[in-house]
Amino acid sequence: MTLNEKDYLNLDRKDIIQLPMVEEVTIRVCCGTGCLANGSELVLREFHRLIQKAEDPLKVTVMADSTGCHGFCEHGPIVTIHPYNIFYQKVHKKDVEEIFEKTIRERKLVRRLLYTDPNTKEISMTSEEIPFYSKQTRKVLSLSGKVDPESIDSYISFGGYSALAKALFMDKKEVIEEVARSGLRGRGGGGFPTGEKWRSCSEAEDTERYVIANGDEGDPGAFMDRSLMEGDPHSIIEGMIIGGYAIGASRGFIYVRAEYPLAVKHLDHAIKEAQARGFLGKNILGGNFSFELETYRGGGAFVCGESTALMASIEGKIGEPRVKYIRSTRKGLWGKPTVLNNVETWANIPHIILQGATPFRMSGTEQSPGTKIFSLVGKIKNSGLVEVPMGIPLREIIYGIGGGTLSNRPFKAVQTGGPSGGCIPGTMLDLKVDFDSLTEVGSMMGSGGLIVMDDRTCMVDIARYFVDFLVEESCGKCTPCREGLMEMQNILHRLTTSRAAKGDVKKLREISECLPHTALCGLGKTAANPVISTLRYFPEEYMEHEEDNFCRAGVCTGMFSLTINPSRCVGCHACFRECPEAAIKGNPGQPHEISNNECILCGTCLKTCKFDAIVIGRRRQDDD
Amino acid sequence: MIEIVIDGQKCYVEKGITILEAAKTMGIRIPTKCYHPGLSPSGSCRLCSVEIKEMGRHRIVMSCMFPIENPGLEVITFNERIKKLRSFIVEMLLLRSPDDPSLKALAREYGIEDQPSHNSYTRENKCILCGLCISACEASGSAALSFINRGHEREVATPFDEPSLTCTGCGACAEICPVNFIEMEDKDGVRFIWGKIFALAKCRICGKYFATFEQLAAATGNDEPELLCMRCKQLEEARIIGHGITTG
Repeated sequence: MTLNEKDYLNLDRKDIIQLPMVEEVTIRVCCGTGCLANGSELVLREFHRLIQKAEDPLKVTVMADSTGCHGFCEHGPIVTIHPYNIFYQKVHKKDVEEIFEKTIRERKLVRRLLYTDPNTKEISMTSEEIPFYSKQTRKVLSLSGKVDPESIDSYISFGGYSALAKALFMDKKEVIEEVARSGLRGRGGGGFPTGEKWRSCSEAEDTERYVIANGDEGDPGAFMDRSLMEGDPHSIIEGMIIGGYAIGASRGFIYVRAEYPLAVKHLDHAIKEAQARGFLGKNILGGNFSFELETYRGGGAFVCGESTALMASIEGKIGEPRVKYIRSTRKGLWGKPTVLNNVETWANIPHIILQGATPFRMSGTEQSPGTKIFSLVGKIKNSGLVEVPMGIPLREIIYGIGGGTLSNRPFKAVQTGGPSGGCIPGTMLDLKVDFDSLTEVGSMMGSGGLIVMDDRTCMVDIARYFVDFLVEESCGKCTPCREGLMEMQNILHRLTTSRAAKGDVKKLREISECLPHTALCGLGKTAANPVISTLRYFPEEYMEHEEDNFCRAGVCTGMFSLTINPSRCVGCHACFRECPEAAIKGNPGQPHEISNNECILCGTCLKTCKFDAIVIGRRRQDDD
Repeated sequence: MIEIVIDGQKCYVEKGITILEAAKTMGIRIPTKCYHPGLSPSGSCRLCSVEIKEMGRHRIVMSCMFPIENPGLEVITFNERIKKLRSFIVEMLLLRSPDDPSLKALAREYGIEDQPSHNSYTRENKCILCGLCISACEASGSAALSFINRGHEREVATPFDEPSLTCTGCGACAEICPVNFIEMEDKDGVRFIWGKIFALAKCRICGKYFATFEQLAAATGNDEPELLCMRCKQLEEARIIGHGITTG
């Protein structure tokens, strides 16, 4: 039974569509973190309540399940109804009864809960029709949002653990070769070839070996690993068992941030279920391979996402990095050969083993094959989790999937790779997103955060924000990271608060040149990236902050002046109402004015005005 | 032994030793702050950077930790790039300890002018957090010290900042500190260190105070050790040996 026929998709007919009779209906309620925060648990409970108390017997069997993240977090809570494949968004408890009455009983659509494209006004019934989904290539995320993360049966019903069964019939070397042939590169940001890492570990002298999944995702605005661990924990576990088999490890750890309680819960539950089914433990699937897996909760330090600090943390020591002249594949956890991969890397493994290296290489580029999950956030219409083939142009992600900037202001830059990444300017929208292209322009893939910024974002302030974060998170072990970052922070704070001294930008440049070569670990080596990249692409903004006490984005308080352009102002009175100082004068319907004497330059009117009538200008000398 | 090149000179070194150790045998001086030959290196001060060329690639490594494993390694211990990086580190260390004579000497050597302060904190002399005291204390068997806090708040402290139960008052931490930051005071047969007070033992021959009782007990494994200072002990032993020679 398919509903994807053109007739049904016709915009005007959404109201009168009569859904066909079916024997069984499954309601899937997204219980990912974003939707939970929006009250999806109440929605699920309400469904359960209605199913139970349905007075006249329903003609169909109805089941309501929780699933992991669907990715379209901006529009949560999300409810999908199968087999119709209906995609309801922004569903709240009060809507549940209507869905139940209309869709389940009367087999009609609830039009107001369907997704309407803000640009084309087209209404979509299924997720496949929504540009946010139709332009993605969801492979690693293919089950997230479908599978019940708390049921191994659900995972198995989608073909789960068949890759493990296949791998166990392969020679260990063959498994490694398959992964190497796929060209999979570490999804945690470094981009190191996974097959090579496994091979190097399998050739180590010591036979006591470990595998680790790095789920210590700490970048502001990133939630790829979180959604994966919460939504499809078994795919990570399956990948790790295969990895353990290939390199000859008998024990593995999943290191998860303590701030992700749901991920820990789902992973722990999944491990127990996998043990009960014989996928973990002694003599897996009756063979002679034994493997134990456990989760380890991090203590809240960003630096523990760095591999050596992470291992120190598992060992029970202070989570501080160590000098890495000897690779972890030779001397890692407890000095034993260790393969550490990001959770997303592990989740790719079952796909590679089951389908083979060649299909994997079909998506992505020659040097960066496969897909990558990004968390698309910031000033963008469709925030959420997206999976796209490597090498996709930035424009396609930001405009095609993301729907462009919020309130359609000009796109200014995108920060990739979190605090250790860099800002890519709007002029580079056609840049292909893969490991090497991003590094070339001075940013990095990182774990996959994409923070979109429009022209009301001050690049000096953005650098300050990330350096603030890194100062907070630097472990303080090595001098350049501890002291150098602090110096950068001091300078950036001066630049953004009208206290700039002559030579500040020069000094900032000097420190950012030395830091990458002298810092001890990955955090310190990349810590200057936000400064380096913004200095490279937006040097004029830095000079304006230092020399002219001017912030062109209207962000740094007191470093700009505000006037109203009378030809644009329609007199909507919105700024008048919002201004905390009553500095805006004017009557509704007539152009307004800002009184310079009363204006405190807080920027509230900038955010309020929908007509782009507020003009940011330089401050006059006598303003002070 | 493997052949490598340091500053243009060929030399043979034992496999696995560090660049710093190799350079030392050749009389090449590389500045260090967190390194001590008797303790395992931590690589935290980042002052001892050198440039290496391996398989055609140049990169900066810390000489105190980089093990020489492959023949043909080329090391450059000083050039403009290294000078720039070390100057940066010295400058950063001076922010913590602006009046330390050894750091000031390094600053002169690297041509750093005393900048009145592009930093906002006050000119107070602080610990440079090299970690030598912690390693020394660990090596002595007490492990009374550790780093606490993170980033700029990092400090060396005893557990919960209370007088440590395991501290023997040996003073190795104060002795090894490169910027003389650790306070230790011996006065009237009493030693003050890390918030703890120790009675000092008097040498039964020369009568000088020479160690804490706890230190002697820990070092000898004897609760009632012989109260003999290092110097008198040597003289005593020399006398016994000498006596043996003359009478024998």
